[in-house]
Amino acid sequence: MTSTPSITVLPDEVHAALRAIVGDGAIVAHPDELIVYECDGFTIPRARPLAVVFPTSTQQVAAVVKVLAAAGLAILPRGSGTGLCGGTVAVTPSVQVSTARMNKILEIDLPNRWALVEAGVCNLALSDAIAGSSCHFAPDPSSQRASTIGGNAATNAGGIHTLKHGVTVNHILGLEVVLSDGSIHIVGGPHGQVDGPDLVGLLCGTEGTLGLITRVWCRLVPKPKAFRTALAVFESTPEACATVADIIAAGIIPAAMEMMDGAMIRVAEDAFHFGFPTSAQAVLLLEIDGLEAGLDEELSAIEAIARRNHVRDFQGGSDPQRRAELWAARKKAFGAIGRISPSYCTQDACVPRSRLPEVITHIAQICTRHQLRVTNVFHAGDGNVHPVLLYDEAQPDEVRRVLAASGEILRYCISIGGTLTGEHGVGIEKLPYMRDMFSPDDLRAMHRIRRALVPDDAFNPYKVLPRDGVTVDLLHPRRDGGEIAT
Amino acid sequence: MPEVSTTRLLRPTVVEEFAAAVRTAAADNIQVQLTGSASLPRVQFDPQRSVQPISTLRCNKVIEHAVSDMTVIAQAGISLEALQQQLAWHNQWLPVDPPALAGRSPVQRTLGGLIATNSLGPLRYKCGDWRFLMLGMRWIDATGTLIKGGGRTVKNVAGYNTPRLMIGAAGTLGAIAEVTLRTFARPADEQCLVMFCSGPEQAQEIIAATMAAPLEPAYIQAIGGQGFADNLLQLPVSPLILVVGFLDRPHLCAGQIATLRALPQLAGVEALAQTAAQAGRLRLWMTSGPPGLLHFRLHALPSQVAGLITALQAAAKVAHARCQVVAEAGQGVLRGTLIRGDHAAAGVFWQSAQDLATQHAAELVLLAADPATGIAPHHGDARLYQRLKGAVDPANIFGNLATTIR
Repeated sequence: MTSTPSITVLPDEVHAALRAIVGDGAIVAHPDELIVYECDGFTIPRARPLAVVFPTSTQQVAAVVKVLAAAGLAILPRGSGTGLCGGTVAVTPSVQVSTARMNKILEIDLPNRWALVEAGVCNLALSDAIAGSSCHFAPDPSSQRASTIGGNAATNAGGIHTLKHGVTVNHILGLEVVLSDGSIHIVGGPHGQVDGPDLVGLLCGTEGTLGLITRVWCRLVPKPKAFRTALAVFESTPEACATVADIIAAGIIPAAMEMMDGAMIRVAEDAFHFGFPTSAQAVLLLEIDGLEAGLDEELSAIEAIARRNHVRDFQGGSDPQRRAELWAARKKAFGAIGRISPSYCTQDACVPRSRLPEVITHIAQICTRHQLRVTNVFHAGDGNVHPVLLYDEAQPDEVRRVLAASGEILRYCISIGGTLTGEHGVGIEKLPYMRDMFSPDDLRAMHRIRRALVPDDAFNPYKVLPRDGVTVDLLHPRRDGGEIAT
Repeated sequence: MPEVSTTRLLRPTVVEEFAAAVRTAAADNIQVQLTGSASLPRVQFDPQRSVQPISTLRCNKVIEHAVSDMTVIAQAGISLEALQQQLAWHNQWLPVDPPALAGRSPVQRTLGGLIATNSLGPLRYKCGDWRFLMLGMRWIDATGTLIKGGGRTVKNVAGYNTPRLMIGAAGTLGAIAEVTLRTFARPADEQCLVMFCSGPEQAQEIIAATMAAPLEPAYIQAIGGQGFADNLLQLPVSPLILVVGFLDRPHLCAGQIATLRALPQLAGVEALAQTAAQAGRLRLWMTSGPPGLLHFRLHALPSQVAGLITALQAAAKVAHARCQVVAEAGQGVLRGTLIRGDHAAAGVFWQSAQDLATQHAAELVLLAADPATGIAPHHGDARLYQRLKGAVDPANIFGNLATTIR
C-alpha cells in the first residue's frame, strides 16, 4: 500500500467490477458527492476517497474487498461517519465501504437477551425495536441517534451510561468480520466467545484496521428497575471534580456521572432551557439505578459527599420526564457549541479519577498559554475528560494552536497515568501520541497482530498504529500528495 | 499427549526475571511451559523439543492498590485468596469465584492462570467477565520481551487491546506477567435462596421468571439432582435445584429473597433461604467439581439450561455412568463432569453430549479427559487463532492450544 502511486480517480475497471457486485446506485464516485465523505466528526484533516460503495450483504462486502485489495486500493470501513479522530480520512487512494445499507435487525431473542444485527443498524434503532420490553442495548454514545452498531463495535464506543454498565465491548457477544482476502469469519455468537483467546475483545476498538465488521451479536440487558437523577451545582470545577473522586472512592458506582463547566452550562442552557444555573462554575449530572428500595439511601450518601465538597445546590429526583430532558440536554450539548464558536475540537483523554481536579486546572492553563478558549463537558465518573477547544477553522494559526494545545493536553494526561483516548479512538488524529504511551516493543506487538490479519495492509492504512519514519500531516493528510479532481 | 522432556523448574520473583527466563529458553528454541497453581490445561508441546517449565508462583505481589481509584496492579502468580486478602484491608474485592482446576481449591488459583483459562464462576452474571474486569496488562512475548497493553484507566481505546488476546489463550500467545484490574466495594451481605424443583419445566419457568423479575441477582445457578446428592451441605435432593443469590446490603438482600419467594412460579416449591456463610459455602461447592473421566462445558442459551441438564444426566444413565452438571443458568453455561462409569461409557456419553449440542445449536468444549477414554478435543474453526499464533509466536515457544474455537 505504501508504494501505491498517486491515483485521483477510481479506475474504470475497478468501477465496473464494483458495479457488477453492488449494482448501479450503490457507488458514489463523483467528486462533488464525495465532499461529505472527506472527513468524519473530526473536521481538521480532510481528504476525499476515490469512491464510496454501499454493499447490502456480507457476501457483497467480501466481493468488494477482494476487488479493492486486488487493485491495490485501500479499504476504509465506514458506518455513519460520526467518528471523532479522522478514522475514515483517505490518506492514500482509498475506497470507503459503507455499511449504511446493511441496516437490518436480523433476530431478537429477548428471553435469552441477545440480538443479531447488521453492522449498519443505528444504535438507537435496536433499543427502539425492543422499546416495549424490559431490555435495551446499553451502550449510549452521544451519537446514538446516528452512529451504527458496527461503528460502535469498531471504535469500542463509550457513552454516558458506561460508568456502571461498561463500554460497547462489554455488550458484544459475537462478530462477523471480512478480512482483506475476502474471507468471512465469525467469532463468538449468541453464547459469546466460548473458548480460546478473546478475539471479540481484540477486534472491538481496532477502528476497522483489522477487518470490516458486517454483523454483530449484541447483548441485551435489563433496563434499570428504578433510578434517581441529581443535579449538583458547584462554585468551582475542582470542587466538582473532587466530589467525583470521593464518590468513586466511597465505592459508589453511579450509572452515569457527567460534568459540565461554567461555559458549557451557559451554552446548553441558552440552547435547551433545561434550567441549568447559569451562574455556576460547574454542574454534576448524576444517575444511580438499581432496586427502588436502596436508591434514596445511596442518593443521600452522594449528597453528603457533595456537601463536604461545598456543593451550592443539590437536587435529586425520580421524575422520568426530567430524567429524559436532563440526558437529552447533555447529549446535545456538543451541538450547541456552534452558538459560541464556528469550529471546535473535542479532546478525549482519560485519567485516574483521583487526578481529575488537577487535570481540569492544567488543561485550562495549557489553553490559556495557547490563547484558546476551552470548555468542558465530560464523563467525569470514568475520568474521561473532553476539553472542547474553540476556534475558527478559517484561521490557520488558530488551527495550529488547537493542534499544539491538544498534543500538550494528551501528553500531560499520559504522564499522570492516563491514556490518550478514552472512547474516540486514535484514527490519524492521535497517532503522534501513541509513542508517548507505548514503547516500541508494545507497538511492534500490535503491528504483528495487524500483519497477521491484514498482511497487505489493505484496511485503513496509516491509522491507529504509528510507523517509523512516517508522519501524517493533519492539515494535508494525503500521503501521496494526490487529490481528487474537482 | 506424548511425553516431552522438561528441564528444571524456574521460579522467577520479578517480571523482568520472568521475561529473561522466557528469552533464554526462546534463544535455545526451547518451549516454555507456564505453571501457576497447576499446569495450564490443553496446551500441546512439540515432543521433539525440550520444555522449560516456569512457575509464576513467586511473582505474587500486589504492585499498587490505588484505593481511591478502585484499581489494583498485581503480578500474575498471586493467588486469588492472597489478592482478596490485600483488597479486603480497604474493604474492596475482586468479584470472581472461579471453578477449581486440577483438584486445587479455586481460591488457590493464580490471577494469571484464571485469566489465561478465562475462568469465572457464578458471579459473572452480575459482576462481569475478565474483559470488563481487566484494564491493562504486562505480558511477555515469545522473544522474552515485556509488552504493555491497555492501561490503568477504566476507559481506554488507545491502540490494540493486546491483553484481551491473553484471556483464554492458555498462555499460548504470551505469558501474563502483571495485571491491572478494577476493584469493587465489598458487598455488605450475601444471601441466596435454594429451590428444589420437580423437573426441568418447573425449573426453567423459575429461571425465566427470575431473570424477568425486578431483582438484581448476583448469580442464578441450576444443579442437576444427581450431582447435588454428593454435596457436603446435606440439603434435600430433587431432580433439579436452583440457587439464586444476591450481594447487597442486608435489607436489600432480604427484600429480594422475599420478592423471589413471592413469584407465582414458586408456588408450592420447597425453598430454603441461606445466610451469608451458607451461601458462600454453597457457591464454593458449585464451582468445585469432583474428579472424573470427562470435564466439559456446554454453552447454550438460558432458556435451554434446565432441559439440557436433565438430558445430559439421562444420557449418562443410559451409558451406565453418572454426570454431575452445574450451570450458570443466567449465562447458559453448563459445567459437567462424568464421575462414574468405565471408558466405554465415557465414549457413549460423549457422543450423546455432542448430539445434544448439535440439536440445541449449543457449543461443547472438552476441558479434560482421562487419556484412556480416547476422547480428544475437537478442532473447530481455529483459522484466526492460527494466524495470530503464527504472527506472535512463530517458533511455537508457548505451545499450541488444543481447543474448540468458533
